[in-house]
Amino acid sequence: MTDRKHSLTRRDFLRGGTGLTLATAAGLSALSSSSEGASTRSRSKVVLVRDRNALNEDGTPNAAVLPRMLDDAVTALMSDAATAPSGNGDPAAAWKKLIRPDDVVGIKTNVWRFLRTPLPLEAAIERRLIDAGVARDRIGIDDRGVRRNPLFRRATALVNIRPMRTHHWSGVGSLIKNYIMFHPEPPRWHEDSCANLAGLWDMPEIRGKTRLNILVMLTPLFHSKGPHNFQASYTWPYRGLLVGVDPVAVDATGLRILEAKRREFFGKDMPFPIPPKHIRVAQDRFGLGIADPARIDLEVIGWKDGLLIQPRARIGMGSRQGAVNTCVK
Amino acid sequence: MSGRSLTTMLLPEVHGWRPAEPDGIYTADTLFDYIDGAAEVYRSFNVRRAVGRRYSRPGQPDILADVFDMGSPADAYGAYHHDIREGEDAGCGQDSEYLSGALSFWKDRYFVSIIPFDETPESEMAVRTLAAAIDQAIPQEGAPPDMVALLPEDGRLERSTRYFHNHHCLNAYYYLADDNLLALGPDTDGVLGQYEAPGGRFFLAIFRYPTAAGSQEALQSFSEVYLPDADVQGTARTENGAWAAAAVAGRHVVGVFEAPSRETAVNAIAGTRDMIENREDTRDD
Repeated sequence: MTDRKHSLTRRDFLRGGTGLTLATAAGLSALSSSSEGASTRSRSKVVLVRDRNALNEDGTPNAAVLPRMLDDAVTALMSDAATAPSGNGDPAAAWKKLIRPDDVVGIKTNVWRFLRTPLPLEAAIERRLIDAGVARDRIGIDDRGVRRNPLFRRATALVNIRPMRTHHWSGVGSLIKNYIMFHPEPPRWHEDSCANLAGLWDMPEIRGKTRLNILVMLTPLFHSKGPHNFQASYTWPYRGLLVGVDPVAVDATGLRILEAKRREFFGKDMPFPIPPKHIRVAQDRFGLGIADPARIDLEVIGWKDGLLIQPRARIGMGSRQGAVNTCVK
Repeated sequence: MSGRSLTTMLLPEVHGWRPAEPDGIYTADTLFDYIDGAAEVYRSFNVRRAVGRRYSRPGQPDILADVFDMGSPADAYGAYHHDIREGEDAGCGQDSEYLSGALSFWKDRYFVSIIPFDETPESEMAVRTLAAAIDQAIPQEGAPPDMVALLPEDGRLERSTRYFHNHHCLNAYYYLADDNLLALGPDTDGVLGQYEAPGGRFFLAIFRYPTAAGSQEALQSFSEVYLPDADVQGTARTENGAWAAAAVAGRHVVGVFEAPSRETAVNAIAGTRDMIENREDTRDD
């Protein structure tokens, strides 16, 4: 049982910093408070790629544009700023830095009926894996069936992709959370706003296998409502992808964008009804990656209108990928 | 009403939309299969049964129509008001909202939600027609939670009232603490409203316990953690310069949060306690 005298309260958040509102404290901006453990880590790089034409006129994903966006992002992510300008490299070569030809690769997607991972993106990942030398029969795509999927059971590498959205239990549906289907009892992770979701990443099926994380920000859901937690009016055409090897850094960046959108939409700081604390906890308690925005190097490529987030000064990344649970070959 | 009976509220066809698959019929125990995590909200409001039907029409977005039998009008009210309601009145049931294609309402013991996957002129017509048919199929109205009447009306913002049972819901409306400091649960009721006052807005909550002893214990555990610096009237200035206060009134605990002044907090508590003591049996039963 929790010692209530040490319960985290609204007043703790108010006490946390000058002018720190609950909205930001309970959500993303709490990520700014570096923990002792995380402060010893290096930095993480995240690439945000956006394209005005990422969506068709009817709002559906543009299959002609998305593969190029993914290529640009992965190339930028894997480039060494000291030697090559981002976005101008060879995408196949970039993928080869992530994946070996003898890998068995599971693409962990998300098929939530209202906002699923776009099929053209799944196809683009598969194409690039094949280009990197992985045989077609060594690539699998799955979501809710990963535990039963023979390919995922023998996977040596994972590519993690999902759209970001608000979520009833965890505040936001994140890359960290996307692996919950690997667990035989997903509800076991619901306690305390799903705070300990990063613990999933220590499961043998997952640990050390994730090579790339892609947070789909084409039409993110920034607010939830109703029994299905979905209403089209709470999505907006952001037309972006966030890509990184550090899932925590990518999630933290996506969360900043959702927070900014909520401020814009509601005209004030609007707390997530369920605080998305699992992202901060992933850094502070599990050391899965970096959530502190000050230590995330965000590179932005493409369309800048309505960006909602400011990239930080770009410095050479090279060998300084910060995620501890990723394996870059 | 059984799950099968709930399906009779749903039109077999509406403006070219037809059922795309067999209806989903759920109980409190199986609702997770349908709406995943959100099921916990409806379970907290004592949902009995639910039916969900997905309608399809070529070239148009699918439409999901759900009817939840919440067991009582009070819990149907709570389920409906769980979400912020900022859309237009749809003219259905006892309170309703139409917002960007989606329509929700409550009537008697039923909470109804109709959601299109996207919004088109045709889908709006279908959604409204579906809602009207369900509304007609529910023969009578029900009373809102009696606790709502305990909330002062003066200054209460329209559509700010919430009714709930547990601290998860309270935190969704107004975050107080990670832990359940007020010992809320299935046996307790709570209402929350937001008020306009000189100097700013504030929240007022009332929590009702089975016994007066229960309310006393809840106030004590809450005050120890949240208001350890409270004065003799139970008020404290919080770190953002606003005022919070809590007090007992029989089986109830009254709380005020974010008040712009100490006077506002004290007056709100006193006025609400008077209201409760005038309306409620405050014996320790």
